[in-house]
Amino acid sequence: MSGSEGAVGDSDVRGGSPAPGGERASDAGSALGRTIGYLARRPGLAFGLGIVIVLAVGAVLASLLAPFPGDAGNDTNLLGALLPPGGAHPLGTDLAGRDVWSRILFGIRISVGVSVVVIVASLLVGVPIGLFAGAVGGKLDDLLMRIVDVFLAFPSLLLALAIAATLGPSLEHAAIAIVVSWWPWYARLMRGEAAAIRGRAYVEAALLLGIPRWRVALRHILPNSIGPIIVQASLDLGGVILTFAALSFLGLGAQDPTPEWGLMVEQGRTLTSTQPWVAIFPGAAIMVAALAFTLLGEGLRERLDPKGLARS
Amino acid sequence: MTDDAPLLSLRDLVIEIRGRRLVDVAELSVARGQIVGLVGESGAGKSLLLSSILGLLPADATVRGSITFDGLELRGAPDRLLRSVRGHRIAVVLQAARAALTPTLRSGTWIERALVLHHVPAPERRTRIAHALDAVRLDPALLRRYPHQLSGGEAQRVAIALAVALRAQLILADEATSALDVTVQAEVAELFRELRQTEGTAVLLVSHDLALVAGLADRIDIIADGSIVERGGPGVLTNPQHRVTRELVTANPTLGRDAETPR
Repeated sequence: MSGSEGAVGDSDVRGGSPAPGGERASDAGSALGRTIGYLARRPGLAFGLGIVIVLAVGAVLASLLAPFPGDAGNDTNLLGALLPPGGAHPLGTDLAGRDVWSRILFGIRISVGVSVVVIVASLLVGVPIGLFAGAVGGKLDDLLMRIVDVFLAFPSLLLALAIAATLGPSLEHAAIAIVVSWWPWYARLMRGEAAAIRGRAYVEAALLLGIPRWRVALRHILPNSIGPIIVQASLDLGGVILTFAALSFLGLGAQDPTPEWGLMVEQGRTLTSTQPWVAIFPGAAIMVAALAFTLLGEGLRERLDPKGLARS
Repeated sequence: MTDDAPLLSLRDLVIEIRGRRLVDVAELSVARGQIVGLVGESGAGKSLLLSSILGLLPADATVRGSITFDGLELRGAPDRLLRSVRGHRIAVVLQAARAALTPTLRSGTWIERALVLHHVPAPERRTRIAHALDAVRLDPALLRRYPHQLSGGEAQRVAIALAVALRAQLILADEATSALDVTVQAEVAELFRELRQTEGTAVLLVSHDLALVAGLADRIDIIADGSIVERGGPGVLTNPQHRVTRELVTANPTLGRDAETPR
């Protein structure tokens, strides 16, 4: 088995891309050139990808890039409170005298990082359930999808609010609340894709080869139906960032001194007419991050789920 | 038919779906190395009959009677036994050649995986695959390709090569040539003939194409409304008795004139 495993990952990647038959690994040298050309023709995707890369670098190197790393934590400097942008504080300081730029940088780890974790967790719950329902069909499928419907019947932000309020305000509880309200979307989407693929000839052929049903689901249905789910997940990242910020803004998510963007907006809410930088810069960060992931998702859709373009 | 112990034998096979009797075959057998044609119009129950052999009927179907393969009773057999027979001892070649290969797998990976699944040891896999490619005259370079990079004929050869590599004793060909263009059809038909000779592979050739089957099969069974209505050597075509057989013959202009030397 070990010999063929390497080819699996490889094939999954290649399979998703409609590479024409003539192109082989031999011209890998021009792969970078082709990628740049591809991006040049898609400014939205290029912009989204660029911002996402910047965000990733910022998150990883926050402690090196931030002028006042301590300000992301418990450091306060009340004598330097509410300084306007400029000088040592390019984006000014907040009520506690903390450097807004440093807090925004560290905030990537919270606002974007936790959102990524939330999406991945939602996928880990939703995709197996949806795959199982779609691949098996019948009564179990009906039962699982009715459960999913119950979750989907509530508006997701409202459901997340209710769960976060019940669990008590904290970063972890907000993340759990979003996962609980989010996974059913992936379960339903995955179920639909898997059910469509289940009728394909290659699934029948796989069963006729004596491959157990669970393995057919994992190796023949999943790789051929995951594309639209990946696309949806990347599009959803923007939405999760917004939801997460909203929960924090309402006091149900991250708590001070955590440098969460939604919380930072809330802390500057009463100062918008006098010291607007306290709320505006973290607000802009939320907007740019959400926009970047949406653009990236749209770009991925064109690549991985071309028929989804007609849906949107 | 005169073989004492047929490789595959169906007796009193009745398949019903929601109370409707769709297949009712008193007797159908395939001897070792024999090519049997099962010909009928679409909706005659051919595909249902094939699915029943490997236990892959829809969940709401009920099957009665007996399906024995090489001494094993397959009807109602445990899933484990059926899975060890599927592909390994009875291979199925489907109509949709390219669509029957998983798009995300290179054809070589697809073959390799199936051999692993059926416990063919690693060193033997290589020789078996090489032999199979040789038998179906397939360029080994094609194993690196994905299904969308293959032609219909090439894809069908990949499927047949797998049957050879697994040393299937019986190939169930479900309209295996219908989707291919005429010259490729003839090549695939020729392949079945060769495999019977070199590997001793029996073939149950299910088709609506009487001309193709007539040129290949040792015996032809005509199926209509789920039952075998006429049976015989290729000669059944020159002197068809049953209404359906006559219709199938007249539907094909080349047959009436030249039934003795088809193709």
